[in-house]
Amino acid sequence: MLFNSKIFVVFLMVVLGVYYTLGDRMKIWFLLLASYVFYGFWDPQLCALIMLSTVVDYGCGRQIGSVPVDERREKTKPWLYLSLAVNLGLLCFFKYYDFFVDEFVQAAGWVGVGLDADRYLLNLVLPVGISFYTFQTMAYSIDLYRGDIKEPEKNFSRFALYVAFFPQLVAGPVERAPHLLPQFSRPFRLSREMVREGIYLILLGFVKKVIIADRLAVAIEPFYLKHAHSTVDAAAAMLLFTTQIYVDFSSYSDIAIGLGLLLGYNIRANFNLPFVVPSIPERWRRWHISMSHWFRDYIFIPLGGSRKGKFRTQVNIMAVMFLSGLWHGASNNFVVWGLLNGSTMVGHKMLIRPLRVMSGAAEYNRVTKVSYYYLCCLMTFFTIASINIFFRCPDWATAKSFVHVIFGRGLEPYILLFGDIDRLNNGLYEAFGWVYLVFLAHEAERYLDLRRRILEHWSVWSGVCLAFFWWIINFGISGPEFIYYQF
Amino acid sequence: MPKTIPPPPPQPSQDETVRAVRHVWFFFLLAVGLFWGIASMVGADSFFVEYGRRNGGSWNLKMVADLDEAEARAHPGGAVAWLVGSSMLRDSFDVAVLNAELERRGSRFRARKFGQTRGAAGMSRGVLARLPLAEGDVVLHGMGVSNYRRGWLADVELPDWRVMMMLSTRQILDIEAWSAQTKLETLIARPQTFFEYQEESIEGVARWFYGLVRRGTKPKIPSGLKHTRFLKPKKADRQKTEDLSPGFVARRYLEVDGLDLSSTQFNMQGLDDFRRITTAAGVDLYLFEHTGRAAYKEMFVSPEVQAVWSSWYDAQPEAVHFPQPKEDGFYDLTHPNAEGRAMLTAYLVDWLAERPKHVPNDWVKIWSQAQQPQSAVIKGVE
Repeated sequence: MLFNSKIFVVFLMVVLGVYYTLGDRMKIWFLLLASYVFYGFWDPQLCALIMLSTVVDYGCGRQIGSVPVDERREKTKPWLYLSLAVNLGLLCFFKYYDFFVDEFVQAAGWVGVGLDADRYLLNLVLPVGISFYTFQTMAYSIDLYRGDIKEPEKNFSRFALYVAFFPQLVAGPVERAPHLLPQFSRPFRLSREMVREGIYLILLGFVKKVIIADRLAVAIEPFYLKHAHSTVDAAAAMLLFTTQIYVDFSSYSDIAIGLGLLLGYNIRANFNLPFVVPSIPERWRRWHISMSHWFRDYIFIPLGGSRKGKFRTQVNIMAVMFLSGLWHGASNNFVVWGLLNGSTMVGHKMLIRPLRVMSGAAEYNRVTKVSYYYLCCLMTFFTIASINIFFRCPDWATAKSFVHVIFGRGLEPYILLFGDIDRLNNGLYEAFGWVYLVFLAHEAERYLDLRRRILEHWSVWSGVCLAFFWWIINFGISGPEFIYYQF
Repeated sequence: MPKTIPPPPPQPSQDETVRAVRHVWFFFLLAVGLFWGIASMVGADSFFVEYGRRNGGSWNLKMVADLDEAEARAHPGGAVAWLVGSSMLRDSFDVAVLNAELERRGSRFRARKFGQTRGAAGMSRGVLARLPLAEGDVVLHGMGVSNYRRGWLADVELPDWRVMMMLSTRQILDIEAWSAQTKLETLIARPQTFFEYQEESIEGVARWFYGLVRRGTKPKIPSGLKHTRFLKPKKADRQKTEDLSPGFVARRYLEVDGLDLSSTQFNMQGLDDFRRITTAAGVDLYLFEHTGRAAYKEMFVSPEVQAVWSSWYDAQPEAVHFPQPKEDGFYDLTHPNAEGRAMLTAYLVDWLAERPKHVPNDWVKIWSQAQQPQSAVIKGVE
């Protein structure tokens, strides 16, 4: 079920209407049922996969948790491996089987062995949300194994709800057991502040999605259907997509967190103003925070983190970003995307000293400081946007054409653009108005703490929510699915 | 070591919970009331929709709603040739020229045209169902092989509100190409007219805003020229086949397993409805083919599909053959331009008299010769 659909609005009304009337124990079972209805709406068969992951991790968790904490690393490895094998097995099978068959057949072709890929390809459809809930359940098993969680969840319904909780099931945030699971054990409590914030976030999420992200998507879609020809159009589409994906993905998280609040649960923030940031590492600290933390805690740190010297740190960073790229999709585009992101992070680390010198010099006065800050933000934005070519383009050939026309024709097309703005496609030109709006809202939030001010005053909150509601009614909520549903 | 995950925040009190739940109910009821109030102001003839109407289907329905049957049948004989179909049909015939010539010849027919983008049988059956058909009329519907592609409905990405606008609830439930989820999504869209005309309403709001802010004047109500008449592109505007990327062409190439002539295909269901409606009204239905440029078939339709399609088409009892314009009679790969339209319009005038199944052998030659500058001929005047 899509958040941005009429059926979801009806679903939510029914769920809230029944939920508030139930006792605490029945609430958990009801939410679990609602979550499976939500998930199974795409395809009821998908529920079997999530149930499999749930049952295996519940069982493994009980087994790991039955051993004293200080003995778990010695005695419970098999249960951890079982949990990882099942979850990674599900993920790898559905997500990567066809990709690796393709790669294998290609590689076989290079060495003269002709294989018919069609014989081996299964053309599997990726189950919605599998990348998220498998990571969430693996984190639980690993935390138990490490002793970060002392006691396993013994109540199956609560654990099943932790895996399938519908607000964050399909596209995150990837919640961690120590934060979300205890909330299911507590009695249901709700405050008027939670209600206000929840409604605000849900409406904000829909506004961002249907009014900004979907319109940016419409503007740039035609340019990614074919190979790039015009330098300025391709560059504009590249910049607009980076805005689109931020607004699209953050809007999903807003709605998820807002829904959680209305249900009485606290879901952690997934974005912390990542749109305008002065460096790549800063961007990754603020973007898709739950997934970044997952990779940090379960990949980067076990590999040694930054504790084993500079070279090993860079290798670990590249490994994490490679896996992050692979997590996003089974294609060479995403692998390259991940490696490029890793390269920029490694590059930043290597340039840290000169960057600090420049930053220090910019402290000369407020004007130079602010100018330098926004210059860094602009360069970071362009770097991210350039890397996102590989994220957005549907295939390698299209990505290559984009790289060629954007970077391979020198500065002349851009210089000419300054003299004649009509060189830029009209639709793209108008779409930059949304980019400006996003930038303003982003900086207003940073400098004015806009959200807190809106939530603090009933009259302001009412006006803002009414405006959002009117916009959503008139623009409609139905539209393309959220970008991160595809992962 | 991984950073510690913070525990959940403290909880509010039971009393606060009761108050908060009341809040949710209050806002929910307020939202429903506001929505219903706003939604009830949007419909086919609402203020902003009049300014924002831009969709071919919407224009067709307006033309049907505004149709004066008495006026349509005021001529001697009172029969109407209803031309119902897609944008290719819309661009194929100049109704003003057609009716002028029919009047000149004393024909019992006058023509009314209803063409819309994506207006293959699946969609245009909605228009047909609303027409005041009477015995003695004819219905002419154009068919193109690409409209019988497997998964056509998903392929053309028709928004559900366009389908809702055209089809009844029963027809929507019968759409084999739609999943139960999609049908449910459509069926709960109430009030229905709000969802059907929401896009055009917001377009009208935008035009008002743009008109007042940029020009200081209120906007004009569109006259629907684009949908009641047609554009007149210059020769230079003709689409070049090399503009299409190989990837796009490859994706669109129709192979045999991509053709779906089964009764569950959306436009085949539409064709069944065309037959049902015309039979019930005692009206003759005729089908003709939009073949497009030869380049279109070479690029997008495999020879096997062409053979299967031709065989199937010839087997249809309603099928007739119209002459096809030359390559430069189209402004893109499939839509006739002024030259192509002139030929098709002229043929339709002749065809309505006898309604032959095939083009008379010498018709194209005679017509082409008549187009020489020194001859007094029917020309496409748009």
